[in-house]
Amino acid sequence: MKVNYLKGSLLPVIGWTVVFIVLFSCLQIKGRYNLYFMEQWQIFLYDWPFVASVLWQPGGMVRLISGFLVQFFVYPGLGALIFALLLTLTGFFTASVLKQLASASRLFVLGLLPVVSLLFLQFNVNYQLAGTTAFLLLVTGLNCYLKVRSLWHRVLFDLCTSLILYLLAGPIASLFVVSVLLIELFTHFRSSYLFLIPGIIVYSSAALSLRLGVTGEMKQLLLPDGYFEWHQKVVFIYQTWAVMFALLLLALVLRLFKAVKKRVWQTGLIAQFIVVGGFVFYCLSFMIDDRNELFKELEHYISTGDWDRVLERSKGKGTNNYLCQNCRNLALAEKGKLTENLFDYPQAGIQNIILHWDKTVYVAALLSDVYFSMGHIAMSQKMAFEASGNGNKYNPRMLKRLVQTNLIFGNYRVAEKYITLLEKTQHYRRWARAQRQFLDNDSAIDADSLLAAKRRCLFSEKTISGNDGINSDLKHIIDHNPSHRASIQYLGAIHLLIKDIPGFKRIMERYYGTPALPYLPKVFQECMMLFTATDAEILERYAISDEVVQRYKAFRTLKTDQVVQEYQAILNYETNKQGTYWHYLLCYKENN
Amino acid sequence: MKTEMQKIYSKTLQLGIAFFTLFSCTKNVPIDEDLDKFPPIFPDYTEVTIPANIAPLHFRLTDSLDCSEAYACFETSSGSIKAEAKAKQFTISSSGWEKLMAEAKGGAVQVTVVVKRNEKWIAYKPFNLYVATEPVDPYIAYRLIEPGYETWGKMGIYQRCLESYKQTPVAINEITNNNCMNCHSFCMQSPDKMLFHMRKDFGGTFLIDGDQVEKLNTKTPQTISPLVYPSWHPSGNFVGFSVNETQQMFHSTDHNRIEVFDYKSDVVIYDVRKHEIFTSPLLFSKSAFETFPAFSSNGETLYYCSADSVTMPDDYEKAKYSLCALSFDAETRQFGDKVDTLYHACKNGKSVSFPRVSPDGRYLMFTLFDYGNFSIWHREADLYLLDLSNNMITALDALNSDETESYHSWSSNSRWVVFSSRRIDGLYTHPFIAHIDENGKASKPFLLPQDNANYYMQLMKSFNIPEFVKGKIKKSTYQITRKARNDKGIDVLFRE
Repeated sequence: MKVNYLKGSLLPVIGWTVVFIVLFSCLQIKGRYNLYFMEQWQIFLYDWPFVASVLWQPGGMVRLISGFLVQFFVYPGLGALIFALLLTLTGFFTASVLKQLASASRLFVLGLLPVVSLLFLQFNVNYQLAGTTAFLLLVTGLNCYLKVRSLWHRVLFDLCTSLILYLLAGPIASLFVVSVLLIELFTHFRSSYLFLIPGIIVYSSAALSLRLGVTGEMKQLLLPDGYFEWHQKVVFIYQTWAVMFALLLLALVLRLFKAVKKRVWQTGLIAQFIVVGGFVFYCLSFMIDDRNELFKELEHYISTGDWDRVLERSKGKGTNNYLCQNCRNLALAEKGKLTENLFDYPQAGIQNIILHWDKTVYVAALLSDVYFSMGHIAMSQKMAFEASGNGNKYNPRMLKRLVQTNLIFGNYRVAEKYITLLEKTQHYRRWARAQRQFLDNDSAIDADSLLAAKRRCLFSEKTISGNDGINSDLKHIIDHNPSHRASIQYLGAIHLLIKDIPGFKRIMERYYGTPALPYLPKVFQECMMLFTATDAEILERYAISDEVVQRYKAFRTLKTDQVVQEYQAILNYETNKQGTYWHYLLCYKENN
Repeated sequence: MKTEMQKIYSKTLQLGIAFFTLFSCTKNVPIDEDLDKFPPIFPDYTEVTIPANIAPLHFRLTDSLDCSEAYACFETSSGSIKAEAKAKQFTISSSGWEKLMAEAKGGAVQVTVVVKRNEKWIAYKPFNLYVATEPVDPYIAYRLIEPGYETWGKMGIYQRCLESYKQTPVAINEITNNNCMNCHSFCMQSPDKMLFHMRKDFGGTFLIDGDQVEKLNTKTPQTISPLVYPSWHPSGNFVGFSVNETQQMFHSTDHNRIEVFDYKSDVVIYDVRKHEIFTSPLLFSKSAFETFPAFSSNGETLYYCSADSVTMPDDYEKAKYSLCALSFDAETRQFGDKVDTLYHACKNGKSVSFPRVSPDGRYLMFTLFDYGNFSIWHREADLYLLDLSNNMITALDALNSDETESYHSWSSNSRWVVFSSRRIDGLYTHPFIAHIDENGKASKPFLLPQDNANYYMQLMKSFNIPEFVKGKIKKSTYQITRKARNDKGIDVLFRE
């Protein structure tokens, strides 16, 4: 008996511990960059006005709790730990509900179905963790409800819990009342009509919220739509709720079977594992976009300055993945290698180096990094501004960028505003406090290598950004700060990528031999060969290396189809042969 | 700038109650040192003129000031209230404040700030809060939005009770698919007759008249855009609008950050009863950019801004707007045939925006800056006053700062103005209220008071288009939203 009891109580513990470990491992191995990304697109302030602004609306409490938890996702491993714990608890309580409804059928494995759904849903950038937290509250509430025996106590419990859930957790209250109603229909049909009352109360509360202007649509207050940032027109946002409803229905039907033979429930267990496994593959097939996940990973490396990892992970990616290409070229620029290694990687036009902004906050954040790298502080600031606070998302890294750019411009009061905001966060406060030394202190800025260098990129000529092209702005930057190598690298690279050879030549004539361009990097030499190959004097003047000269001679001997073949092999990473500008010039066609 | 009466009153008050001060409000605090300077407080409420019906002016000591304790003593000739600083903030109860205001109406409240630093009590030079006899309209309406650029997140039009700190939404874009809403405008400061625009989802112009809400589709084939900047005719039967083709560009280094300009613009009049637009060739010229209409208080004159058309964006610095006037007959819907130029942009080398006539018809306030029409992004933009009785123009030095002063509007009794200023940090726009007497003399403005003096530091939004309103807007967000969502809208016609 004792052994059986121990087995009975230990087995679930072991089982759920295994679930937790599996979830943690999956999240840490495959999902950690998504968790880092989640942290980057929200902010939690230790500040009563902020807390009050979140709490006042239905569901405010779960949003606050979730925001509090997500701030810790910035720490390695902690995000996976917290999220795995949330999901494990969700699974545990779901299984407990199923067990209470149909203990003989042993449906506890199916309790993982909502867990799987919530796990994959979290990869959607518009989905809020509040939805998962709310779901946990739902299954906890259902568990408690199932322990209440007396009818009127159940009615009262349903009423109170649904109202509390609505106020604290938002739309999940509607799933709670529907679930309870369903259970009552199957278990106590005659009195089940009483359980319409909580549903009416929840609906009325939502209607009142609508009238009070909390939101514009009822579905934001009663359906999973309320846990998404933007209006989603896809059906899968209802998936978790639908799965839960289906599970309850199944359990209630199987409840009729008071005893189940061992062989039957063992087969049932296997079937449950197959169903859960199948569901995992089903979700995997459409709920995770590899390109998005790669971008999240690259964004993490960019935020930590791990340029080598950016280069490593962006290898093998097609030229039509512009986000990836921009990240990679940014990494090259930050390592000072843009004009050495540009064509070691496939390139495809200017979009690979400076993406056209699609008005999203994610691309704005990337462009802020690119412009900052270039030394174009005004555009970097603009993009950082577009990426933080707009689109309802605050990005702490972009807030840091706003601090930096405003310090660089000498807008100290504005910088102080952002510093004050970041000082209210847990993770960024130390960095923010350290920036106070720069306020109203030009000497401190001049002594800081990063801020001073970027400040020297500012130019006095009054121009409208981009009006004469980004190349015009870059020339101003170079003229004012020739030591800022990234600017000349980007300028030359842009001319090469758009195949503006005359423009490139003019840049070389203007800057070669000056502090901005004391020597020609490899890629520039390759382009110079196109019009200096037969002129020994120019070759000497521009110090074109013998290696480049020899390679060019060898390249000239290739037939066109050989060049095309080599280029394709380079594009597909099928060769160790280094790409050259000559391959790009001959083979890359816009709109390929 | 203080009037003579205020100076005399101030001195008398200081002498008269200086002795009293030591033995009343601060009687338990032995002063070790008197400083001959005002306390460093935020907001700067030193020597401002306020209406008696304003909410308490809470302020705090600035962070640079180090002290372990602090008190602020608010005194009138009849009594005093002492406020202890909590986290460097001074707050005062509504009832206590109301009592002070009632006692000080027409006079002043003297405020003495005393701080304890290094075990010594230091008293700063007392400053006055001058309490005007004229009340201010009880509400202002404004839009809260991030300060500029291309995308936006949450924004909304809000109304704020000036007699308390209560701010309630009139329309918020969270419930209209995060669209854009702007250009709220009130007929003679009436909360029952107003309009505003929505752009993108559920787009249209929403005209609220009592219980009625009309959604208007204001783009016509003859006009270059839907209706933009509004100005109500005092009768409420017409609204002057501009139509604009607007573009936004960014400066590479210029401290003005952004340039907003019109490729084209015209002025038209919307007939509220007939749902028609009409205009005059003098307002609809291809060779000029006409914009910012503003009716006079009697409705017989339409003021507007006009610039010679130039090639945009190359010549953006050459676009300078003059202040013009054209007569208007509301009965016949006819305009005069001669334009009066009240301020020549080219002659003076500056540009005018936002002409606004005081309800008593005496003054016209406008914004003046170097070029263009979007003054909020010009740090040199300042407020000027045109005396319509003699056409004299004066700079409102009392209201202006080194940063942008731009949008402004008058209270219904013509004694108060609320205007947008970026003086606090150079980027985020905040509303300031100032008294202007019948002679056009402006007093030092005060920042819209908040319950928490740190509010503005934490707010990441700008206050846009502050407008006085005589009462609470009763139409609910829900009612407006339902109209927006469900109504196709009335198509406005252009009458040639």
